[in-house]
Amino acid sequence: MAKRLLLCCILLLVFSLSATAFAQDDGIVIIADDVEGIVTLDPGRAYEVTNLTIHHATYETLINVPAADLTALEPGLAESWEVSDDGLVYTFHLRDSVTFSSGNAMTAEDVRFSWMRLKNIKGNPSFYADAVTGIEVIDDLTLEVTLSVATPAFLSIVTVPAMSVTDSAVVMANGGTDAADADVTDTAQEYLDQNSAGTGPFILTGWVPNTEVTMVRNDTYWGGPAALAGVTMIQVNDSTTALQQLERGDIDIAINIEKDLADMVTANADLTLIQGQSLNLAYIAMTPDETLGGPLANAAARQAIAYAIDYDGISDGLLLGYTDRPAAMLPVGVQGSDPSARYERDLDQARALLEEAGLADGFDVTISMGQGGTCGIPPETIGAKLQADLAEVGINVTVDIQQSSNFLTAYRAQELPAVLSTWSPDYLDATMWSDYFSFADVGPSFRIMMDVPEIADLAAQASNETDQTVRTDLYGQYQQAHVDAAVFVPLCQNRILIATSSQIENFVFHPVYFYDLYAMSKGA
Amino acid sequence: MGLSRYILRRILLAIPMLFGITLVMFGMYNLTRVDPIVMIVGERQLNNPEIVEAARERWGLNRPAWEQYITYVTNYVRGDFGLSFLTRRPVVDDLMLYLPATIELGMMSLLFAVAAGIPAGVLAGVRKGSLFDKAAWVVSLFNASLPPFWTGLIVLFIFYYYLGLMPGPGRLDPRMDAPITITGLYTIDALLTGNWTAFWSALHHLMLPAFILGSFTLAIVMRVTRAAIIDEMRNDYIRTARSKGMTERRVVIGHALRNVMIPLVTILGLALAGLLSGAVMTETVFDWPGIGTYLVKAASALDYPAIQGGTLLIAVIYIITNLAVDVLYGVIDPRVRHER
Repeated sequence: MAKRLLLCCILLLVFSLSATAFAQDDGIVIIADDVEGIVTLDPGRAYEVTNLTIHHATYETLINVPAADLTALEPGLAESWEVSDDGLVYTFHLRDSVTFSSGNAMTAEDVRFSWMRLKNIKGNPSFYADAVTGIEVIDDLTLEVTLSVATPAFLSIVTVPAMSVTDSAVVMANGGTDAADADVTDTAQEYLDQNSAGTGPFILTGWVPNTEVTMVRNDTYWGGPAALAGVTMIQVNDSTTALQQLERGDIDIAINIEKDLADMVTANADLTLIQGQSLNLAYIAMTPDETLGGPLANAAARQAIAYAIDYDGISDGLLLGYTDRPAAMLPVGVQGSDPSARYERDLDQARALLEEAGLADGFDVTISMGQGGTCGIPPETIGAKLQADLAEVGINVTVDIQQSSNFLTAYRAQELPAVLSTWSPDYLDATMWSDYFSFADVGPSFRIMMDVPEIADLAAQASNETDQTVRTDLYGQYQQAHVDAAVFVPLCQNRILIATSSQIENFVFHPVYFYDLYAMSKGA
Repeated sequence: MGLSRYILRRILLAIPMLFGITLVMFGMYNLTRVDPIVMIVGERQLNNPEIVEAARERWGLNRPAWEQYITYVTNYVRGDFGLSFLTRRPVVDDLMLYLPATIELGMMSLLFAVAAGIPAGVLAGVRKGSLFDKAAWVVSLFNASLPPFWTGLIVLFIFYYYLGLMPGPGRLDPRMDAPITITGLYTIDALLTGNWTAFWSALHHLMLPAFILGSFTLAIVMRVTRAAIIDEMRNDYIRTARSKGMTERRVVIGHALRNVMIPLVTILGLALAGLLSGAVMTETVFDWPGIGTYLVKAASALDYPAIQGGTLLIAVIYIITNLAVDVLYGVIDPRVRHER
């Protein structure tokens, strides 16, 4: 018996040692990220979050947005571009002698193919190419894009990974097509899920759903090879476990860790904490419609609620300071965003407004929300906070937490008088918000039945304005109009927390692609 | 002859059962008031009535419910489980992708539960009231009562983070390539391709999750074995065996344990079916890409094709294991065999 026990112990020991011997350094960086969130890696079909980082590493767009200044545009695969006076024709001049990872030269025809394929696949990201009516290839390095309506946001749209340039020869050889019936005839997804066909600094080598994504360096990248030999993204569900793996050196970077673990990261000299300012905006919406909202139809009642919310308590207490406070429906970092255009807590003002509205005794309101959480705060917690804040001025809040699809169904059906929800952008133009929070017939403003002509007029004018100074000024007035209407009240703008080993250098967070693998390096 | 007819009859009986399951699932789906279209088209596209209509047409959501049900059942009969709303891949492909991880973990857990549970149960039963019996009782009660999402984190903290004896979560070392897929079970595939480093890594990665997942089954196996052994040891045939001068070891293993197998097989069959339908909490803690996580994700996103396909798969797993248990009775117990 004792002999056997000894044997078992020895076996176990050998076993343990054999597994710990693998941690060699091969220049591959391991990143714990939301691999589960990936649905497809076909740039023409993907419309989730994690794919943005991967596509930004493996493909390139004609224009880039630098992380340092989100309102600037930098040349990418296009060296320069011109816009016609009527804003309908865009001419792009492409960079010379850029090759795809297959060795094929990148030409204007590849751009045309990629964009027409995106449009004709009619997938989730196809709306980016909605305005495009025709693309003419002038020569190998010049193309002319015609739009159906003047779209000042078009240059921003060109920067999104869905507008990446794909290798038309490779994509076509694997079943891809840009024909009008591409939605039924294109079969390239299977290939593009496992391989990339781009010009980017990395090459996709595989994707195991829910498990991992692997990429290796593209040694022939036109901008010079990346510092990292390769990148593997793995799925880790729990922040605490991810930090343990980071501390043990099994992974190099943990994306999106919980805010209450931030102290553990900053206390450890071997780890670095990075805060990424996202453009995800959490808001409360209150209907101005009499039949749906009852007392909420009164602007003074909505303003009273906006004055009664303890914004600082949410930012500092619930989010430990890891958040930004957005302006009225334009997040920090977007053109024209004016952080002074928002409410601050003022209980006396709230009580005075309630008195003015004839609601001095308070009233009942139900706030609905999905299960997803707000800036990382669980719905139960933020619901209880709002309940407590509004109770101070006599408003009785019922918190209604619904399954997310349920919530969205009811919100779309105009059934919810007050909601707590979030909005994240597809590209970095103010219209990404003003197109959806302004008009009576579209977006959240439709769902909450807001019909305020002043907001709608300002949004329409700003959307079509090409003079940037005038546009910024119009957005200033637009935000003030939102403050006065108090239909939409922004709460917080999430910051994503990232923990890296201190060996990782040049980790740059980007609000659109989340992070840039090309700039990153791993020191000794 | 008798056995194969019996099996055939059981399989035929399963058909109306599966049919009933599809009916219940479809009915429940029609009772929820959620519009699946919010799942299918992105939030931004919902503003475009043209795309919404095209999606309704494409997924057949504009047809009456009875027509949808008929399409749905005929597709099932042809082995077509439809496309998942969430992953946009055929549900069958998805299930086949995640099932091997679940099978590997489930089998390992069962192996652990049997290998540790039966000897411990026998020993506790034979030495009833001893210190070992009491200790085993406490440990099994502990194991059966603690939630795996908590114990999982604790063992990871101790054996992975603190002691470094065990690997972290996942099926393989993150820096290692998966073995070439043959069965989808990493250990088997690695063995078949002679990839020893991957085999050790896969086996090593199985240990903690199998320990956590198997603990509950272990506790049950042990309790059942113990109770049955105590019962059996009182019987006349044991006294006869002893009086024939057999060693206590032969009495227990050769005689008593054989009779304990019957209740054990029942328990193990049910446990196996449970383990193969996925263990959400263990899978989540250990980042194990199994069927449990897949189905929970599908359920929280109201991905009906995936929920229905997965439910049907689990039903089939239960039917098959129950059938296997019934057949095993005949093998273990000659009385059952002769009755037929």
